[in-house]
Amino acid sequence: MSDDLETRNLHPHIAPLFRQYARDLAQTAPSSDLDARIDALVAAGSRKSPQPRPHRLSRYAAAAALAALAIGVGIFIGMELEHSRERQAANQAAARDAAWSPADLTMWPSDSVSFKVPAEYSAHGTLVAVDPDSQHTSTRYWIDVVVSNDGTFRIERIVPADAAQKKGAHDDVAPQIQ
Amino acid sequence: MSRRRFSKALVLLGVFGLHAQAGETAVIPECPASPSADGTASRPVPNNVRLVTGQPYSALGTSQTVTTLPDGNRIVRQNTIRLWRDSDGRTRSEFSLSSIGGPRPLELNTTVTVIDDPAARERYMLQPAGKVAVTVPIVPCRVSAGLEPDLSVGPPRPPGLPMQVSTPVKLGERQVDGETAAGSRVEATIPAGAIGNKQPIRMSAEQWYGKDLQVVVEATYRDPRTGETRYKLSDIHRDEPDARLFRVPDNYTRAPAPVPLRRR
Repeated sequence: MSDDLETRNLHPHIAPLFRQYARDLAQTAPSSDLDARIDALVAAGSRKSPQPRPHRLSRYAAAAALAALAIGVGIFIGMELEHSRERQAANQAAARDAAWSPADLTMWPSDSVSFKVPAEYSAHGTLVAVDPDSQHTSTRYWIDVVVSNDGTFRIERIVPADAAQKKGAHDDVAPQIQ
Repeated sequence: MSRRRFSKALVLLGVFGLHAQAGETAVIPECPASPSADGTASRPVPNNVRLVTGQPYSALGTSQTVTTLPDGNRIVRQNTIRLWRDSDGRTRSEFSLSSIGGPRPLELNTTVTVIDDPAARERYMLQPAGKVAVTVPIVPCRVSAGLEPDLSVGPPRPPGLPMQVSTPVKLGERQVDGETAAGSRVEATIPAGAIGNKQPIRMSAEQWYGKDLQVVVEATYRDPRTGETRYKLSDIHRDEPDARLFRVPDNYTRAPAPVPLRRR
């Protein structure tokens, strides 16, 4: 190799690089010296990789617990935000319904009964009166209904049932006390 | 002498009886006026129940609302009321409700039974599932004898909703299922822009009021938002209903209505 290098007419800048390359090649050629150097490197590497320490494991566990706690708090805050948004939307809808509700044009005396009905939204997006004994599958609402013996039936108000009302003793169609 | 004493006793009894009767009629007040046509007056006293005595009847009221959608589709909702009233003015109403229309329709499919007992000053709402009669205090009142249509009678209109209501037009009298009924018609308009509407919304109501029964026997309500509702009272009987209809069944427990947590 070196003969080849010497026989060629190389540029003065390239020639030293080629000589260095030739030396590196010579060092990596299979030999007992190369084997000894590799053994030494392997031995040094195994000495440098320490075993994981017990206190490092507990640090990982603490970090994982903190992460789980943060995720839990995040989910809780998200649910609260969602519920408050639902309540806000329901209140806005109730206000809109009040403006929308049909005019009462009764001219003659009539008799009315007002009552509250527990209801939930169905999969089809309509409000459906629910069995008071059933489990809540979604947000439950109290619907104020007024029926009269002049043939008029109307929804006066839709209010999300709050926790206190959910636990009420009369979670059924109940008369409305105004 | 004993004859004179007997006469005196009779006179005293008569005076006492007249006084008692006067006292009884004085106890039943006139039904309070509802808001005026512009809806500015205050809300009527709640739980006032109109007392009509000496006019027993039973009947079936059917209310049908047809809503036509913009694509021509039609939604038909029908609810019925079975009504009874005895000579003392006690009433029983059984509302068979399938659904109630509106911006957010409500599917009910339930029957609500209400008994009003003006003498006991209580309303009972029967809950068959739990055999409970929820009680509500009521205040009986009498409607003035005049049988003129009056827009001041009835529940209030939506507060704050600007609405122009015409003077009721008398439609004369006609027979409805053997009952003499007086008719009247009124129109109302929600001006353009009041609720985001580009054009005025025009509604109307036509009611026929049974002069003896003192209830609406036929009515038609038109509102472009909900459609047309027709109500008719049929199967009218004027005999005294069974007294058991006005009593809470023995196997029911009476419970006062829960006090609402929210107020209007």
